[in-house]
Amino acid sequence: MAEAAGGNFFEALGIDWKLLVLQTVAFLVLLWFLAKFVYPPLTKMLEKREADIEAGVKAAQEAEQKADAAKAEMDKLLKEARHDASDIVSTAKEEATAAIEAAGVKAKARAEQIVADAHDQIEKDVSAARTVLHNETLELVTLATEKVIGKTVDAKVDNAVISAAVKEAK
Amino acid sequence: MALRLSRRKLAVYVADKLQAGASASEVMREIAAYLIDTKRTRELELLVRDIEDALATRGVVVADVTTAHALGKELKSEIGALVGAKKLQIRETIDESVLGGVRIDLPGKRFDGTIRHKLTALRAKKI
Repeated sequence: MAEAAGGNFFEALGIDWKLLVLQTVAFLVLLWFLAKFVYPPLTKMLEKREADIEAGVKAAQEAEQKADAAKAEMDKLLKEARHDASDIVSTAKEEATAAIEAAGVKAKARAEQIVADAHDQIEKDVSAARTVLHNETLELVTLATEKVIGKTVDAKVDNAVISAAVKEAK
Repeated sequence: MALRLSRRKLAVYVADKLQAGASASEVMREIAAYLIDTKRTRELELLVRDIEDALATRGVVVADVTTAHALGKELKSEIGALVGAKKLQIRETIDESVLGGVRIDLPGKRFDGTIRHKLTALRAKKI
């Protein structure tokens, strides 16, 4: 009666319990199949992908850290470079200033030397001109004296000259 | 061949002879013969100078006087007084190139008071 009542219940719901059992078995078989052959590789693939993603994230983090470190290093290097450049520029300016001052002193000394040489040369030229003038004057005086004396000294004058020379020799 | 004597000894010999009053021409002829014989005629001028030196030590001086005009007696006596020799013989040379004044060459020394010499000295002052 109860069985009949149960059979009536399924029937009343439109369920064929045999078919239900069969479907349940089929479902279990399908589940077993999936669990045995489909889920493991799928899970494995997902795990692998997750690991890859984690590795990627980790690599990205490391890369970011490296990038940060590199940026910090670059900033440090840039700072040092700026400092060095500043030092170099400062040193170069000092050297340039020193070189300019040295060149100025050298140029001044050279100019003074040129002026001194010019003065010396002028003095030499003047001295040479004086010497030439002196010598030419002597030559002219001598020649003129020869000419004049040759014509003007007669025996009487010559006797006076001789007498004077003899007296001078005494 | 005659004995070879030094020029100095010959000069002393000649000076002694001349001072003793021997004839100058005879002495000179003798000396000339000696020089020819000993083949020393090239030494004639040097010998004459040595003879003049030898005579000068005995107070007999031969002075070569060069002037542009002939010397008068008065000037000759002035030159004699200047030389201060016991006996002075003046060998006079007229040379117009001296222009004026007198040059006296004595054995061992020279006095040049010519205008030419003064002009030469003036030229020598060239720098």
